[in-house]
Amino acid sequence: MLAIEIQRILDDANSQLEQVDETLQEMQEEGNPDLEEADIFKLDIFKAEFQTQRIEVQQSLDFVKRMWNYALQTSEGVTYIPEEQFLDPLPYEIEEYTFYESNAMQSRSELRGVEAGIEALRNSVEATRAQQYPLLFLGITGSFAHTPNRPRQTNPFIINNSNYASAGVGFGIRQNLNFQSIRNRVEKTEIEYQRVNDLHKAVTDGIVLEVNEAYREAVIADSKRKQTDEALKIARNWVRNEQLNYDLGFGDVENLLEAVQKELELRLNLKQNTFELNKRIAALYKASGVSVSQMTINE
Amino acid sequence: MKTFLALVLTLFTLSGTIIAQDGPEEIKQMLESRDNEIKELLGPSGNDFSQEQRDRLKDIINGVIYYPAMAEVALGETYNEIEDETREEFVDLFATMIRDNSLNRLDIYRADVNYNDISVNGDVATVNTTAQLEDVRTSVDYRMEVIDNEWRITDMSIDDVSTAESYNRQFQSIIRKRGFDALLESLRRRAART
Repeated sequence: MLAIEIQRILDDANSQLEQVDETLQEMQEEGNPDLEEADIFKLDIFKAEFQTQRIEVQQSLDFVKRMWNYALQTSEGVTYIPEEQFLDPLPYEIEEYTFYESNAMQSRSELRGVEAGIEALRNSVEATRAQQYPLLFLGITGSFAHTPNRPRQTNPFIINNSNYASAGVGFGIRQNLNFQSIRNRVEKTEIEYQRVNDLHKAVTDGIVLEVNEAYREAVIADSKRKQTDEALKIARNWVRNEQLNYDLGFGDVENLLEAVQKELELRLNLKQNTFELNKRIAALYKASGVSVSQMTINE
Repeated sequence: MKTFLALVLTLFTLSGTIIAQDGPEEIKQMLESRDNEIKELLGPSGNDFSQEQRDRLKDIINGVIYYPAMAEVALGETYNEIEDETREEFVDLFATMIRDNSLNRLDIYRADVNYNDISVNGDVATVNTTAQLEDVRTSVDYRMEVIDNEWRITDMSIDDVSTAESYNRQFQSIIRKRGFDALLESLRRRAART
């Protein structure tokens, strides 16, 4: 997109120069007394210098296009063009820093992963510690016999298993006596738990730093773009002023060419700054854990 | 009595709302109609034009502009300081210059126009449009006023450069350095070139 916009600006610059050239030629043919020979020379020098710059920029653009085609592995006769026709800034207002930081703390997947790890290790430490302590258990047993039609027996040891059930109660204590081994395992798990806690702090610090940096760069890019836009408006007014001066016979070619050159420079800068701003906004979104697909929602 | 007054008040408010709503629509229709007329006269790209066609184009393009208002902004305080006859001549010469310059690049009138916003505040309106011709996009904004019951353009801004203010800067500079008479003389020379 940036390459296409730069190409457009170059083409427009060429067309503006041709217009100035035509105007001066008309004035020359008419014998306009306001035209000086020095004006023609200044224009010719400007055209020659502009041509040099144009070739440099054109070569850079061709390089970009070749790399683009190579990256996309385009076949013969196939050209990819961007979906959007113009490089515009994303319809987005930068919020306060705290918005992005709190978003990052809630949404960044690395933090979620580490926090899940901490939770798992906390449970693991508890479970390992529990092995040091005795395990107490209680058992209950009971019995039941029922012989409604059998005559009374005098022998107390006669038992019929088919009509008899028994139960009992038992209380037990189980203790793992391998204390050293358990202690080692507890310590190891606690060390691991501490390590993951430290990792959480390091990840948090890293994310805060990243969000800070991304925010700073986005704000700077936003400011640069706005200031360049303001400067471009002023340059356009300057060009218009010089054109009107020429129209009324008070013009100076050098001033006109200087104004045109400045305006072109600022148009180029604006497109580059717009590209940079969009990149920085995307980076800020990434740092704060928000999906890039939501970038056009905040207007 | 109270009911009658309330009814009158409601009707008055409603009519104001209806007029306000009509304003933007009326302006848009007028500008679109002008735009279509220009495009029809221009025809496809590459056409040559006779002097009669050029004059007709000038009339259509500039017919909606109210030059005295634009000239007043362009001349600033001096506008009210000069005599009526001189003022009339100045407005006439200023209009000639604007009309001539309007035909410098005819292709721009072939652009597709998108009306982004039209806001009306009483008898004053601001129209924001974007004109796109092939790969070139230009913002064209109008300031309009109701004059003799018609909406007329009193200033145009192309890519945020106001026509009236541009002339104001230039004219003030000439007046400061060389005086008003020099400005008037240069406008006469300019008009003679037409």
